Amino acid sequence: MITLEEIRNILGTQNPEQVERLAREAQKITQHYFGRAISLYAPVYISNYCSSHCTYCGFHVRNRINRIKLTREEMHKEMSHVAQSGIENILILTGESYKATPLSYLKEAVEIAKQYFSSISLEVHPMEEAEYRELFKIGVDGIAIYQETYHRQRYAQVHLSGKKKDYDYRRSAPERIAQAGIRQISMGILLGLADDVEEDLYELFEHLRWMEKNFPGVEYSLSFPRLRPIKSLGFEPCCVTDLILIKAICLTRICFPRLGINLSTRENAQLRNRALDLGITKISAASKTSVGGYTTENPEELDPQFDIQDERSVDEIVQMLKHRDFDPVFTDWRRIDNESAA
Amino acid sequence: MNITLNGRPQEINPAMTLRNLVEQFCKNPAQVIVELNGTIIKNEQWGSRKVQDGDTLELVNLVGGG
Amino acid sequence: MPLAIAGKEFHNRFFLGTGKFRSKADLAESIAASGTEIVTVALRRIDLEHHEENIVEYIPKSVTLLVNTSGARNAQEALRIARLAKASGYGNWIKIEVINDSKYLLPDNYETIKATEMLVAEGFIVLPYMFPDLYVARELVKAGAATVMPLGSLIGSHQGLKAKEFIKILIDEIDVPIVVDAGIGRPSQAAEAMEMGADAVLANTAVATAGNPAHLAQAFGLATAAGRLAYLSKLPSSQSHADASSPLTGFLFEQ
Repeated sequence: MITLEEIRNILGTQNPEQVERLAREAQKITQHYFGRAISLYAPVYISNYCSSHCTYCGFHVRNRINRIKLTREEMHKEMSHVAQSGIENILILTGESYKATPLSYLKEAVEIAKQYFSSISLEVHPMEEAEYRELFKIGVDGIAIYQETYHRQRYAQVHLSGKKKDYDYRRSAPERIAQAGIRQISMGILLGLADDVEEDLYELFEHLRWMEKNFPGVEYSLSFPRLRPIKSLGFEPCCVTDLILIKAICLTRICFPRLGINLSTRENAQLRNRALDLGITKISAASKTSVGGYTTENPEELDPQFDIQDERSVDEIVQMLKHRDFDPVFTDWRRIDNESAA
Repeated sequence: MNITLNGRPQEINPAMTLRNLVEQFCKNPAQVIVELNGTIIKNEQWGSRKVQDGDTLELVNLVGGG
Repeated sequence: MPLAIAGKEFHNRFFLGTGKFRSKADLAESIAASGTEIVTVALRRIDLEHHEENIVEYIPKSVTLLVNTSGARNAQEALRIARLAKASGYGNWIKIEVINDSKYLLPDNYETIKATEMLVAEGFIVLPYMFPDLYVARELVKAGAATVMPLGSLIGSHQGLKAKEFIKILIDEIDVPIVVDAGIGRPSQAAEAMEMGADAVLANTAVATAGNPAHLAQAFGLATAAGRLAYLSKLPSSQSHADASSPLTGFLFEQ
């Protein structure tokens, strides 16, 4: 596996020629293993209740926002709206509250989502293997869980209270997810959280390598959400330039040729377009990051988890992809039955 | 008395112990491993052990191999 | 750094097989010339007609004996041979070789897994010879194998690393030492295996049947060490040159 020193060399280079070489290599590998396919998905936030205090997140427990969690009817409304745009892959998100959004609530959401989408992923609080297995049995295909930062000290600094304080419980979640039978696992770090990006990337790679070796049947993907300053929270992320983000994506592609790499609408349209050439294989389209954001009549009253920088509709994204000879993929596969596989 | 020795029929004197047999047939008794009717017989027991009629005896040792 | 297997350290990563040598003297000289610290031997019925000298006398006491289970066609037979080998008093290191194929001498991966489980349960140090298959390698590690020994190509064929890409996968994914065995006909092939990250190589036929076995054995020892050093030096990768224009990333440097 690549060493920390090699990562530092690559992420440290400012030489345009070297960066271009890195990009070419990443592009070649991506085309080799993925062809021109780009997967599309949409996030649907169903709850912003949270019991943890993460200083960088607008949903944190001490932040005064309007706490909402969708009822069954509201979930139907949001999800059918998203499904109408053609999206087949849904990522269901909640804040991290074991009380407000317990397993039973999540299962309800999944049962509703199954009526509209062929692939369902969740980005929710870490839980026990048995709970992940229940989600698997009812048809959850993927779980996203990001360690945020692997730097223990920094992790402790930004996670002040709640279950999220437990670094090890979170870090060991991917293992429990894989044991439970879930086929897709998405991992990642928040760029801008720890000032040593290179070390975080290295730790993420090590974690991923370990997962690959121990659970080779799982399909992995990585994500590098980049933190933006949030005035209301008084949180200043460390500076992570476009150049560093692009280099991290290229490097990840080169080190892990078959890995899915995701870029959300935290990034603007221009950067997302460019990144498609360099290793990105999954993007969200027409995202709303507030609870009920797709069908609300009063968007200004809602609190988004992050500000959307790319507001293009699904159709616009599809057009852009086709124009650039990419192959937009709405769904890879259809789940038949997880119950017997469990 | 007849036994099968290394896959071939062999006539032997019934009074012979395993040690006698090993010394008769092998140049280097110290290097020999003895398997009698599928069971390995340790060096210490060769002196006291006799074979029966119809027994299967294997005398093996280490040789060159890949 | 030496190669560690089951608590033993080997400073020389060339393993030598002792079969097919024209004379015991050739064998002894080859062991000395290569500097090998581990050799394979086999178990056979004593030749009652011709009194052969025992091979162990030609192997220095400091060299580890790895008894192979050649002749075994299934796991049960491998276990029987292993027990006999242990009774020889020369240790309990076993190279599992289960071959039920007299045409190609390809190892039976499934019986090898079974044999590994059985032998590990009886306390043997197990080094299984196998056809490079990642699933099988994982099972072998799970069963307790001390190393995994994928074939480079067919035994005695001198074809080198026909299975190169698949051996590379094992090197990347398997955490126990990978010892490339079978088909290594030239020192350059041994170097090639080591350069790509193999932990050791084993050769037999090439050395035993060479015009001058001791010279070739020495060459193998040197080539193995050279390949290892090359691997550790992190060979520079061949790079293509970028054009003056940077269509993919130029935007990152614009003001």
